Amino acid sequence: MLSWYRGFVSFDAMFSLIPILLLTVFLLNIMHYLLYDAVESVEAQEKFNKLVLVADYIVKRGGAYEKDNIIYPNLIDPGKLKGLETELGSKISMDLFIGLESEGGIPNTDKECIYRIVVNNNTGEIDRLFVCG
Amino acid sequence: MQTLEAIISFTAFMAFASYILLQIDNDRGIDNSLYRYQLANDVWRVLYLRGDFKDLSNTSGTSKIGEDIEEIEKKTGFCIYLRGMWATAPSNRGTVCRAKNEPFAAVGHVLLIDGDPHLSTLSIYEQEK
Repeated sequence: MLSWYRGFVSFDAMFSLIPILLLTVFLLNIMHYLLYDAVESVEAQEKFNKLVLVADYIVKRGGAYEKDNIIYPNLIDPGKLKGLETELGSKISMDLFIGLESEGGIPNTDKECIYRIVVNNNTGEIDRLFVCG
Repeated sequence: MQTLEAIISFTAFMAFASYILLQIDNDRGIDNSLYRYQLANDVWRVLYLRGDFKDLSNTSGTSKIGEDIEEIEKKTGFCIYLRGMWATAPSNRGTVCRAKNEPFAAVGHVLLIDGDPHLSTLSIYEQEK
């Protein structure tokens, strides 16, 4: 009689374990999704911040026209942009593209790009400086 | 009775699961507030470099500042307004820029017009599609 009841207890335990396991799997899946989503979001923000930082450096110093030790922010000397891609790219571990719209156009890549509004010192015209990475 | 219990448990579980899933903010996006501010300052700086603030006391004819603002608008897809300046009023511009209600970014600067300081706010808006 005792063993007959024990069988029922085992069945009862087995049937209650299935939903518990399903629930656990479900919760683990949600946690995995949330974590993945958070990591992806942080990476995207970090990449964007790096591009903004690089663009700001170029506009205010790296690519800015300089005369008599005076730097003119937003007045871009296209000659100073050469070599900046590798120099800055190695510092922030990114494969960068840096260029003026009038000089090289918008890059046809799958890279993420931002732009800054500048004046091309060679032409004196309004231009866009693209930084992609 | 057990079926009723199962239904109640399942309903409670589904409500809990839906609540958790709805809490997931899928539209977080990237925080570009600093970049917006930089773009607004870029516009101001470019206008300054192009010498557009020199003839602001001139109140007749087409203005260079208006032309430059229109060019920037074409390049960027923004609508740009300088509050308190005749030169950028819609009536003095060739085209009307249809802007969204909320400004993308705004910066304030003091300009000297005929020796008098004037506070001006440059606002950029995203264009309506």
